[in-house]
Amino acid sequence: MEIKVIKNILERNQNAADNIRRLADENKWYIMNVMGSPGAGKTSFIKCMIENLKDIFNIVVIEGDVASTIDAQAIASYGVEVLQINTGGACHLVADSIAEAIDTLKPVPKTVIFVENIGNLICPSSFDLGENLKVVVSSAAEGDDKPYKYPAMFEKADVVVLSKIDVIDAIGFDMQRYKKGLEAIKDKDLKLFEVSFRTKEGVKSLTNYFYTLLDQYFKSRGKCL
Amino acid sequence: MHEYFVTQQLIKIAEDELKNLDFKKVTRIKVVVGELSGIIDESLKFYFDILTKGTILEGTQLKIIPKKALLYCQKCSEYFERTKDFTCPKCLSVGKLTEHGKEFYIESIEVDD
Ligand SMILES: [Zn+2]
Repeated sequence: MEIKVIKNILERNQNAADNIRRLADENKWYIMNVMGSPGAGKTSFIKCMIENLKDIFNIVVIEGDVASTIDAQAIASYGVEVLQINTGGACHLVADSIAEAIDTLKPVPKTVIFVENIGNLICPSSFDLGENLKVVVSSAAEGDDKPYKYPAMFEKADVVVLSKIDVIDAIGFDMQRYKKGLEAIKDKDLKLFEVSFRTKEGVKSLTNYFYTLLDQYFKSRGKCL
Repeated sequence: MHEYFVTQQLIKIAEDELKNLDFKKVTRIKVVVGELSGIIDESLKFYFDILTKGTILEGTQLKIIPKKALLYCQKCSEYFERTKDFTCPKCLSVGKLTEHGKEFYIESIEVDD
């Protein structure tokens, strides 16, 4: 006898994510899932956001890491609350662990929650964390073929931050090819920021974008901060 | 390798489906895995064998049905298999990703009754 099933295996994670989304809406939290390869600049991106926006918005960080606490310490030194999740080898965060982390952190209403996902371009893309926004940080140093090789990750991104643009000439990064790949993948409007967290090139427009985005989100949900 | 997590989910779904049924042995579970689902077949099988030890699913064959990623060319109104830079093999315009290739679900469970 054959029993027809057709059931999504990621359903449990989806339920947990939906639950987080509902909680976030009630509490006016804004959750950003920051994904990308190891060393692409995820932590630099979050540090940059903290540096430029922490006087305006309340920020907490959930730091996913396979084992170490290096990134968490770096972020804590910026004076924001950070909670470390060690996945003990797993390659991505799941909604259940985010729910637990939020429960521990107990963010006040109108908080921006940055989630730094585990560094890799495949696994995290399959797991909804209940976030408001998916940010993919991809560095020029990794080459211009990343959208072609990892389309699922880039397709899900709301914002792509192309970091380390200061090495573009040195490594012969083909911006045309990179952008063509992104355009092929994405139906929604492409939000691409080209930055170097080292030279600070492009950082201003990146910061302005997130300032406006968050300001509008919080204003649309009650009186200003 | 998130296959550990997803294999747990897979087993749970299968056990739920089988809960109220009368049968002798579970013989096969068919799982559809798309090329872009991020699931590695070998890891799935590896964890399945480990995690089903001592359960009603022990010894069950995990049959994986792979699905290729298909892109869609708006110009030709046709689907095509993933090419290196996503260009349509016919007209060379850039295709769009589709849902084909992202599948990850249990299609069926076979039991001996
Ligand atoms: Zn065509």
